[in-house]
Amino acid sequence: MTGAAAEGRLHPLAAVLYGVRVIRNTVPLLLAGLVTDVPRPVLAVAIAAVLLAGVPYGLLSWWRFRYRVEAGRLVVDAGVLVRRNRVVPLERIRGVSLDEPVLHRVFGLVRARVEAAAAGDQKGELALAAVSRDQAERLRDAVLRAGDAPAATAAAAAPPPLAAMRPGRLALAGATSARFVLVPAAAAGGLLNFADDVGLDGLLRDGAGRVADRAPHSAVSIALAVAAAAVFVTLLAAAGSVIADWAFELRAEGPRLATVRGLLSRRRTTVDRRRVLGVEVCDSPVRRALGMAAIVAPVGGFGVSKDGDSAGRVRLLPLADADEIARVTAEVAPGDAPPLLPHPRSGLPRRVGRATVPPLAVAIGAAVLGWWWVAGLAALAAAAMVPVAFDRHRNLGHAAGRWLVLRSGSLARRHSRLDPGAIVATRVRSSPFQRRRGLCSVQVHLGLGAGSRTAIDMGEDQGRALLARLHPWMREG
Amino acid sequence: MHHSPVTGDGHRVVDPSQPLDPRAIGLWTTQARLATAAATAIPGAVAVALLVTGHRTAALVFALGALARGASGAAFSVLWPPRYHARYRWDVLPEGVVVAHGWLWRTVQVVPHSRIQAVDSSSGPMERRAGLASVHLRTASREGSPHIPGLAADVARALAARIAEAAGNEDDAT
Repeated sequence: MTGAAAEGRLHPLAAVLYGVRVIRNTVPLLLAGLVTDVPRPVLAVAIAAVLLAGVPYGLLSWWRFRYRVEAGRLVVDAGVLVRRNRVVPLERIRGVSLDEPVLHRVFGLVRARVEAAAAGDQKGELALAAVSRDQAERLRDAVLRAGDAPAATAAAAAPPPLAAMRPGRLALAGATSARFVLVPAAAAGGLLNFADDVGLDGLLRDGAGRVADRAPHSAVSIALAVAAAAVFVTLLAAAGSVIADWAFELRAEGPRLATVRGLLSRRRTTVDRRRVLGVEVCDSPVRRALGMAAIVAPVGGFGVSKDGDSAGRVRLLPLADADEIARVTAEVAPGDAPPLLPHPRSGLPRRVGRATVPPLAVAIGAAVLGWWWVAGLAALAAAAMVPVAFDRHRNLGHAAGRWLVLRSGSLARRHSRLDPGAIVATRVRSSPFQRRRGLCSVQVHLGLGAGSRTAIDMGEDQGRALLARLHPWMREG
Repeated sequence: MHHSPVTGDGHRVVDPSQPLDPRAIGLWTTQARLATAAATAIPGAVAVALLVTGHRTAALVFALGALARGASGAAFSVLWPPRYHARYRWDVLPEGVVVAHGWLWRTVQVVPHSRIQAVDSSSGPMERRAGLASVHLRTASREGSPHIPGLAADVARALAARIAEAAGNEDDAT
């Protein structure tokens, strides 16, 4: 590559977006001023000052921001007061995300985020606040062409997506995700925070009192209220999933994988296949009953955290059936995997102990204090965890060949197929309790923020065999 | 540690053979004693101050705390260093590094040379006085970055150079 393969500045409307950001930042100031008794003229001057500074700041930020791809490097110059110049070697770039937040969509713009390798460092990400779609695609092609693959042909052919999700499936994905358990807590927390900020807590407390007065008192009405709340929260989660992941598509674009999703904000995540370290199928008892699971890819050096993708993991499909799982696996991690080896039965008591001892301790503690209700509920929870513990033990398994395959968990079960070549280091651990039962745990570290995966409570002989498979130079004789 | 070396598929796995320098036991014992002394002296001083100002019950609580911390620290500084030393083994093989350590919770770490990004060796003031140094192998994973403490300074230097050379023969360490 000689000369600048892609260069430019942000779209002029980025200045507007910068300005909007500055103005949005004054809203809390305005609210704070209105709630407290700052004199109105002072408040007006403060807001005017922010606006007066904000508009030229937006323009200057836009003027200063330039990027170019040249000589195998991405170079960005930016900054109004503090000038910044960042040079990123293209081999270090793991992927590019193109998002279209609502405001961007109105203007036909795209926000581009370049993910560069910087282990565990948030600064590894580089954002272009607003560029035209055309510019963004040229930047992406220039940046990801660092490899040897022809990028242009892939874009021209535009093959059909590997998989696409219909709204019904998305609703099911939301309704069966464990995420919605957190929704009421998050909503209540957010509301309390908001009320606290705005000085409404008194009002809220009165309201809560009134609600408490009307709250149902009989067992039947409590049960009905809980059921209604569960239905409501499930519907909410389904709707949230439909909106966030609307028209979710997984595409194979030559040397890259891309997902596109979102109703209001269209989000596009592109990952260099060489950074995809395998494929993971995640399910829960409910999803297993439906024969479905989520598909996730562990990815090295990818720090995306905006809704859905956490560091080192990119969602390939929020909910897939057996056919789709087979198709995506064949595309991302092709080839046969050896059958899973079960872990020794001597690990079963450990699973039962781990699952039941915490609720039993709570039950005993509550009983000592005379809180019979709590003690009874905790004892029930302990009893309910026994079959979960058996299932956890049954699900444990590993195998090594072309792929390293690990499976564990019950309520949240994960079936990983990892590239043995991605393993940076391996750790075999054993506690005194494990050694007494002839067990050990093997942990493989993937590095670059992709985390580690552990096969717990395998036999000591299995652990040594796995070590010899993963690192053949460890074999003796 | 004694275990049957036969694996599931009939292979043996190398056990690392190199021990740490025996002077590490003395160093760790001194360090454990100092830590114990500091952790005992602070609540002890508080107990004395409380006694002088007439808070007898509170003084008793702090005195008992200091006593418990001192006794457990003393036991630890006697029991732990020789056992930890006895269990610590490392080896540089042609294709990678193996480190095994831990008295109750045992760990064996395996890192191929091709995955080592940097080798650090360091020695603190106490280590220097004992003529010891530590080597830290850096990989792309923080948890997968083994640490070999308590090596004789010249052994540590040679080890760091040897690993760095072996790692440098490989292309891409990510």
